[in-house]
Formats: sequence, structure tokens, C-alpha cells
Amino acid sequence: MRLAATPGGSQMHRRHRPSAVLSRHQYLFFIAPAVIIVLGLTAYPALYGVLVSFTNLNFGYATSKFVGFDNYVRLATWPALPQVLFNTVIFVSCVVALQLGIGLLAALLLNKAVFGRGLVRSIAILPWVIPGIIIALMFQQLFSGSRLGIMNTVIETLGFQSRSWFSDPVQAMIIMILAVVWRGVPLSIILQLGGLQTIAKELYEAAAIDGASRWQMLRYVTIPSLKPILLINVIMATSGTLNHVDIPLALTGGGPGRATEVLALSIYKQGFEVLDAAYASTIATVILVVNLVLTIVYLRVLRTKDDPAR
Amino acid sequence: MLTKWVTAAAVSGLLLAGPAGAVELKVWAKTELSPAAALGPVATAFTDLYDKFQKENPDITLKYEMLPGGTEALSSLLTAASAGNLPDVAILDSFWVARLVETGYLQPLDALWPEAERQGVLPAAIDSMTFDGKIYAVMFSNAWRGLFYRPSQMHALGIDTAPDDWDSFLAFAEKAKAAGMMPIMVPGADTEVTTLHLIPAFWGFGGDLVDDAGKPIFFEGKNREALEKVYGLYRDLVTRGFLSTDVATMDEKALRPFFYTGETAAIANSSSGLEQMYSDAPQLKGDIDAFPLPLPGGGKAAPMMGGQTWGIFAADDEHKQAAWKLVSFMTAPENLSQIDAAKGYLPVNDAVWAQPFYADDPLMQQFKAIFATASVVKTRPPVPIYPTTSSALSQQVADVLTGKLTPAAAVDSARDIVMAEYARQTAR
Repeated sequence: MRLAATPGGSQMHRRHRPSAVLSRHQYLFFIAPAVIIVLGLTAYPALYGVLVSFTNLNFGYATSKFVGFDNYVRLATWPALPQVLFNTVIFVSCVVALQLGIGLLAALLLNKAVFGRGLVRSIAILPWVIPGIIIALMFQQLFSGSRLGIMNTVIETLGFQSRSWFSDPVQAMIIMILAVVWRGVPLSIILQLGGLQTIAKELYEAAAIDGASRWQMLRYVTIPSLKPILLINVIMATSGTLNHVDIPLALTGGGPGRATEVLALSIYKQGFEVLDAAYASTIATVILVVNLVLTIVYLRVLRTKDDPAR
Repeated sequence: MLTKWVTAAAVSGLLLAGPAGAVELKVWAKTELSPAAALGPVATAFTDLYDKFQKENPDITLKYEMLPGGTEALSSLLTAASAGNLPDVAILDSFWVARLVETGYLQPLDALWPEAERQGVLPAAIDSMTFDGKIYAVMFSNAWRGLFYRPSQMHALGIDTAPDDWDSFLAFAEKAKAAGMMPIMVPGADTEVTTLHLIPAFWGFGGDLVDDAGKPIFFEGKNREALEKVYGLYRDLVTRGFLSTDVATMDEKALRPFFYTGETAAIANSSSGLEQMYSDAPQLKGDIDAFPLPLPGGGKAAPMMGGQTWGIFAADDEHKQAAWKLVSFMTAPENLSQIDAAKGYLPVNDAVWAQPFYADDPLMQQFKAIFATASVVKTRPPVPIYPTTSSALSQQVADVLTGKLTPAAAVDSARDIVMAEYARQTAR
């Protein structure tokens, strides 16, 4: 009878209820195909890889069986593990730091009204669209130890002796990092430039009135405002670099010795050279866990104070 | 009206369908052996031959698909096998055949391949594809790995013939070094290519990688001696200044620029890389010669047999017969010579060797003579432990070259890696 007391409103409520429910949940219907496809192409292979890591699947044999944590024990006692881990940490940390730093610097420049800004913005994306394998071949040509190597031609012109760039472990690692950074910087520029353009000018005006220097504006206005974008950038750069196999494989192949072998390259070598799919999956699972842990750490460290989810 | 629609639909159906009763043949091959090959003449040869085959066989429709390069192709085939999605016929690396026979899907060819047609084929090319008395693949190419040099450069050093023994090799290397060149360059990167250059010397010293049961034995007795000699030889060349440690990150492809510029007098490469070298540096055409690495003590690096094969997966008679028609067509001497010549492969049968491209080329005849006169011709052992063995042997090279590992320590290190894996494999 209470319904009768407010007939109009209640009838209206009852009449609109089905569509209201639909409007509240219809997004599920629309995103379901995308979610299913993405999960099918990412979560399923990842989980299948975890499953394979508990078997002795080897492409050299027709059968495989469950072996528990044998592959993980094997990985933990792998004599080359300390060096490969060290290489991976150096590679990932240098690439992420340089990619973010250079990206931010370039984005700050491109955010200003400088001559040719439009053109530079357009061509800055080019390295990102070039396949990694092509970039590796370009850098290989650039740093070839032969006189046909472009860098050797340059230094010979300057009166120095040509050198074998990849035979020195440190030099080889530096070139590998440079190649990956060169490819990754455009993404950082685009992300951070987008972020810079969303920062309200009033904040800078207020800071200027308060007498803030340029450095202080960067430190206390720009970077805190960019934190959500930096968070996305750092997560993408870290996971992308940890999983990077094409450039290390084509550029140095992990050499000399194991001087530039990173975990992602070990997966390739175990899976496709030694044909040990289970061991390759074990390394891949470890990388998956490292990626997840790092993402959680980044989220905790970089989450802004006013984030309601904090 | 209805009659009109039905008639139109029937006519459209007839037009869209292929020839009545056409068999669709699914062909898998890696890109470099397909109409999409990067090397122009190879792409043209495959396009022309497939077109010709289609014209001659209107009852068969070819549907070709690309396999990834390298060992990735094997995993694609194994995945397809487990999913029941294998092609009818495929071009397979000879090394994969043993593994694919294990799946039970690769078809024996004895009944399809008349014995008369097998005459003139190098016996090793058939023997290495025979398992439990049955032939499972038709090998159509071979390659030789060894040292390549430029006769014009050699003449400039005052040498008329390629080194034939260790002393003449040392004399050649001394002269090259004195002329400011790096005498030789061999691949030293941690890849199978490094092993493929190391094993011929190992065989030349009398070594064996595995026994008849497939157990690794390269670290025992005379085999150990042979492997230590190979590693010792590499280090010796470095200490004499004949080989640079710079090769530690290089594969065959990375060595070639040094050859083009004349910075090195000889490079270790493959006969199948010749066409690429001619394409990169056309001035080399007619100015490349080859010799097997002479070994201290009188021997030479032994040639290794291995190449590409055609294998049939189709089990039903209709597709199997159609697949064999294609294999038979592609391996007919006049057709096969187009592929082998474009790719720079060495033939495995006399009829192709007799084709003008091979008969008229002194370098090709030299490769033929190397195989014909070698006391030892072997294939990579088709056993599951081989990939680990290959990886373990190549891993040591960089440290051997720089002197971080003695030859004995390198053999021990390779043994430890291989035997740990062998123990796992035998416990399966």
C-alpha cells in the first residue's frame, strides 16, 4: 500500500527497472568479447606455460610427465643464473631509467612552443613502429667490427683505429641497451607529452606567483602531476624490457660468452635451441612472477595520495 | 523467379569451385624455401615450379603456408601434430626427420619412391633418412662448411694453391698476417653454427659425439682427445695471431663483411651462403675458392652431410599420392637444379650434379670432390641429446678463444652440461 501512496514514482520505478538493470550491467555484454579474446591470448598461454613448467616436456621426445618442482630446483642451481640475473637487472634498470628520463626530457621540450615541434612529434614515433629485429640489424650494421661498420668508418675518419664493438662485454651491453632505449623512447615521449598537456596552467601560474624556480616547478608541479602517466610508463617499460628477446637475440645472441644473456634470451635458447620446453617455461614463469611483483611495487610507490583506491 | 535464382546459384557454385574433384594439398615450407623467399632467384624458382606443377596437375590445388625459420619450425610442426593439423607435405630440415618419425605421422616413402629413381642418390642421403628400415624423407640438398678464400688475394700473397696440409696452412696464415690481414675467421658465437664448424674438425681428429645407442661419449678416450685438440687448435690460432677473439660473438653472416673488405684472408662459411655473398658483393663472382681446414697431424676437417628434405604427412591415399606427385616433380633433376642453383645448395644426386650450373662451375665441382674423396662423411647425430650437446660445445668457444678455459676444462664443462641433461632424459 505504500506503493499506492506514491503511485506515479513507484510505477515509474517499476517501469524503468529492467532497462536500468540493463544500463547498469550492459557494459559487461559489450566488453565480454574483448575480455574473452584478451584472456584467451594472454592468461591462457601464461597459465599453460606455468603448467608446462611442472612437466619434463622436451621437443626431442614424444611424451612428457609431471615432475613437480624439479625444473625450479634446476633453475635455482643453474651455474649461469647469477650472471644472467645480473645482466637482466643491469639491462632492465638502465633501459627503464634511460627510456623514462630521455622520454621526459624530450616531452618537456616538445611541450614548449619551439620551432619544428609538430614535425619532431610526428617523426619521434618512427623508432617505435620499426620491428625490433630490424633495429637489431641496424645497430649491428652501425657497430659492425668490419671496416664496413658505420661507427668504424666514423672513428677511422677521425683518426682512431677501428674496433670490434661486440667483443667487449661492457661495450656489447651498452650497445644492446642503446638499441632498446632508442626503440622505447618514442612511447615514453607520447605518454608523457599527453600527460604534460593535461596539467592545468593555473598550477604553474600559482607556482610562479609563489616564486618557484623552474626546477621547483618541475619537482613540485610537473612530476607529481605526471605520476599516473609515469606509473603506466614504468610498468610498460619494465615488463617490455624484461620480455625483450628480439634485439638481444639478433644483436649479440647473449655473447660474448654469456655477457649479454638476459632471462628472456635464456627462454629462447632453452625452448628453441635446446628444445627443452619445460625449462623454458620455468624461466618464463619466473619472469611472469617478477613482472607481477614489480608491478605491485610500482603501484604502491607511485600511487598518488589522492587516489581513492589507495 | 525461383528457377532463375537456383540456376544462378548453381552456376556461381561451379565457377567458384576448383576443378571437379580437385585435391587440395597443404604444403608447409619455411619462407626462404618458398615463393616468398627474400633471395629473388629462389622466390622465382618456387613460383615458376609451383605454377608449372599446377598446370600439369589441374586435379591438385596447392595451398602453401609459411613455417618459421630455424628450430622454431620444428616446434610448429610438433604442435600441429598434437593438434591434428599437420600439412599434407612439407619441406623439412634433415635433422628434424628422426623426431617427426617418432610422432608417427611422417609417412614411409618406400612404396612411393621407386628403387630405380633412388639410383644415383648419394647413399648417405638415403641412409640418414632411413629409420627401422624405412625411408621417411627425400633429401634434396646438401651443404658443405669449411674455409672460403679469394684466389686473387691468395695470388697477391704469392700463393698459388689452397693450403692442403697443416704446414702449408701455417705458411698461408703467416703471409696473410704479414700483409696486415686476419688470416682466418671462424664463428664463435653461442649458436649451432659454431658447432657445425667445430664438429668437422672433431671428426677429422677421429672423434665421435655419441655411441650407437645415442649416449654422449665425446668426453671419453679418443673422443676427448679429439675435442681437446679442436679447442686447442682454436686457442693456438689465437696465440699465433691467426684468429681474433673478436669472433666470439660472430656467426657466419657476421664474418662475411670482413671477407668482402679483404680484412680477412679466409672465413669459415657454408656453400649455401655463396649466392648471398655474390648478391652482397658481386665482384666476388668467380673469385671465391674453398678448402677444408687442414689439421695438425695430417688430417682434414671432415665434411658434414645435411640439408633439406621433402616429407609427407598425408595418410589417406588420395592426398598421399598427390603429395608424392609434388615431391616427385620438385625433385626431378631439371626442376631441382633450379632450386638448388638459386639457393646455392649442393645436390645429393648425380643427375643434378650433371646439370650445367654444377657441371660448369669449378667451385661446385670442388665441393663434389670434397664429399667424394673424404674418408669420413657424417650427419649430425639424430638423437634427442644433440641440441644440448651442440649448445654445450658452442658455449665453451668464447672462453677457449680468450684463454679463460683450457681445452680440458672446456671438455669437462661441456660434459657436465650434457650429462646432467642426459641423466634427466634417460630417467623419463
